[in-house]
Parts: sequence; structure tokens; C-alpha cells
Amino acid sequence: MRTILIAILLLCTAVLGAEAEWTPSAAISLQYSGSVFTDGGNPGHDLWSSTRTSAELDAASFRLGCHMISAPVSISYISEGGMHGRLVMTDAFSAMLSIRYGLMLSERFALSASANAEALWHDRQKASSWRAGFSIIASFYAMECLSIEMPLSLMIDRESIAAMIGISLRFTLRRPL
Amino acid sequence: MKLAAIAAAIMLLFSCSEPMKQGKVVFISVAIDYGAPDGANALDNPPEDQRVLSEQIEALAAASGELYEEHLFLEKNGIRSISGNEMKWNHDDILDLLSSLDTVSTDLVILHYSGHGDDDGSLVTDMDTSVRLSPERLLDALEAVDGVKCVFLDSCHSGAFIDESPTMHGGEVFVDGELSSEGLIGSLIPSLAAALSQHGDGRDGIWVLSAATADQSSFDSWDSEEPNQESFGAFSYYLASALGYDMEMDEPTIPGRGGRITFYGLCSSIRRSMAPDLRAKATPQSTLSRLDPVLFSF
Repeated sequence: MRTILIAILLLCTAVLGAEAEWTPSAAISLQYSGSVFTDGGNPGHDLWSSTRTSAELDAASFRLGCHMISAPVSISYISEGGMHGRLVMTDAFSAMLSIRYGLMLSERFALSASANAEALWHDRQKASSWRAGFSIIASFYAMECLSIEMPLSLMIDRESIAAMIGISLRFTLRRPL
Repeated sequence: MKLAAIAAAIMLLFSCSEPMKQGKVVFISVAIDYGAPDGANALDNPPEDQRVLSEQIEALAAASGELYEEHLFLEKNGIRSISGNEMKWNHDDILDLLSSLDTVSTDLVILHYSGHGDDDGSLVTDMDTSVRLSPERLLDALEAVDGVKCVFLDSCHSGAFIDESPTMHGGEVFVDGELSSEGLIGSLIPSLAAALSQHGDGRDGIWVLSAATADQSSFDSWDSEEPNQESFGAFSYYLASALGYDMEMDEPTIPGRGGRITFYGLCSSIRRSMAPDLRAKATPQSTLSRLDPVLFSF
């Protein structure tokens, strides 16, 4: 317990000593999603393609030197997937919460990784489901406040695996703490 | 800009879907009136349920450009027949038919039942004996059939045929057996619990829509102002209407061109059409899956 308290104290000292900024941001993105069912319905046979459009708000975002930590929230619409045989993957609405860590590799380039938890509402079935996964995001800062990102994500639930790749546009504010 | 072009190319490359090839629609219906009008446990409406569904599904198959095959197990006024030929049959004949079906993965098999259901959901195909067709036995037989299988059950306690989903939950809450609430907010915690637990294991390729939960009865007759409703069981009435049957004119109709009928589209249509008080007492239940069978496409 004593060791943990000392570690927390040292971490806080390091944080307060660094250049800390509050960096809230908003982003929109468009992604391709490919899903494979591992169990149930049509296991393993087909790739179900759909598009995902998202809007993200990242209010709890902080930059400490070259390190970035944030907890973004996003809402998305996942379109109906392509048809295979007589089956079609239905569309869904989702809300996602992430915990993200990023590293500024240079003035204009950053790499981030996040863990995600997502709740989906399947309107046609009138039912919800959950899945979890992770993302890796490459960011290019065209300007101090504007960046173009390429997120790569993998989301998993008990029945399926979905891989996503896309492009995002992010607008960021920077306020020293 | 380059990045956007690459992303768009990837999306185009992988977003192709296969158009629905011409397949076959197999309609199997079991309708029993248990010796109506005089039988002790008689039901008045199953024969009419079978008639309208047979007519509508045949018309839809033709409009979709698909082959149609039907097998009608009927008991009307105590007389049994199969597709119009008078002959005695029991549930072993239904199971034998299922095992002999010649279908492929793109075919659609629709199984409809209108009759009594026992307390555990088993189908009462013969009132004179204690032999019943259990959910496990029927679903096992269906699982061995190639194709997409949709089961429509108009019987009491038919919700027993539906396995719990390993990932999805509809948020329905029942109080004293009647639907009390449903929707997004109520579904989040149960669906999270389902995602984290080990229970729930659906049957591949089978979608079931039942007239009621495992604890509820279905209605052979009910009070409403729907046209000609007195001639049909409640669930079969709304199912036929959702498929497009014109209950007022008593004839099959085809939806406009460019449309389609899917399993969950039928579920939504039935949910919207049923009077709230009827739906609270006999709440249609469906298999939950992210995949939606396209039954007919025009």
C-alpha cells in the first residue's frame, strides 16, 4: 500500500511538473467495416461489409508533453451489410466509450491506441448488444488544431469479429492548465 | 486526398454483395382444428390460417421468381389430409418430410403451425394420445435441413421454441405474464449480462417467430375491429396481413416492385399492427440474430 501511494505521489509530481494542456476535440469519421461470424447464424463463411459513420466528442483529453490521454465518446451508424445467399446483416446504431493513449512522434505525427466498449441498438430486431475491442490511430496534424486520422479497429463479441479501417477529421483545441 | 481515394477504393472493393439467386420456397403448414366444431378442445380457425398463408406465400414466391413447393398437413372437422389428399398423419410424418426435403443453402423453408401447444411448448399434433412434438425434436429435425428456415408458431407457450441469444436482448419485461415494458433502456443491462455470461446458444440457420412467450397462451379468437378477424387465429391473422394478404378482400396481394419482405420486417409489422392489450397478453417472440433472412424480393 505504501509503495502504491508513493508511486501515485511521484506520478502526480511528474504530471504537474510537465507542460499540461487540456485538449478537447471533436471528430467525424467514415469507416469500412468487415465482419465475420464465428458462431450462430452463418459462422465463418462470409465477409459482411458495411460502412460506419461516426461523430466523436473528446472532452476529457489532456496532453502532457508528448503524451496524450483521453476518454472519447462517439455515436455511430453502421449501415446494412451486403447480402449473402438469403441473409443480410442488419444496420445498427452504436455508442462507444474509449480509453486512449497517444504519443506525439513529431510535431505533426502522432500514434494512439485505445480500448473500446460499444453498445449497439439493432432497430430492426428491437434489441441491443455489446462488444469490446481496440483501435490504433495514426494522426497527421495538417494544422495545430486540425488533424487527419486513419483509425484501424477490431471489435469482438461472442458471435462475431469486426475489423474497421477508415478516415477521420479531428478539430482540437489546446488550453494550458 | 490520396488517403480518401484509397479508403473509397477499399470500400468499393469489399462492399459488393451477391444478388439473391432464384431458389425454392418450401411451405410446410400444420393446422389442426381438433374436431371442430364439436370437439372438446376444438379450435375453429387453424384451417383458415393455413389457407390464407398458403395462398399468400405461393403468390409471393411466384412474384419473387422462385419455385414453390407446399406440404399442407390439415385436420378440418376431424378429417386429416396432406395437401388435399385425405389420409391420417401424425408428427412422425412431419419429421419424415423434413428429413426427405431436397433443398440447398439458398432455399427458404417456412414451417407454420396453428394448433394447441402444451405447457412446455410441445406441439399437440394428436389430442387423443399423450405423444407431443417437443421443441428439441422439431428444431433438431430442422437443423439438418439445408437452407434458411423460418418457423411461425401460432400456439400456446410457443416461446419455448426460442433459444436465448448469446449477445442480444430485447429489453422486454413481463409482470404476471403480461408485457410491461420494452425498448433500448431496458435492454442495455440484460444484453451486457448476456455478453458477459456463458448462456445462450442459438441454432444455426433457424429463425423462429412465436405467437406468445413460453408462459403465455395464444388466441384462436379475440376481440378487435380488424376486418374478418373472427375467421382467424390472432397471430396467424397478423402474420398473413404482414405478408401482404388483403384480409378485407380475402385475397393475396403483392407489395410494390423493388421491395422485399424480411423476417425482422415481418416481426416489426406484426408488433406495430397488434393492439397493445392483445400484444401484452400474447407477446410475439423472435429469435434474435444480427442476420435477417430475406424471405421474398421483388
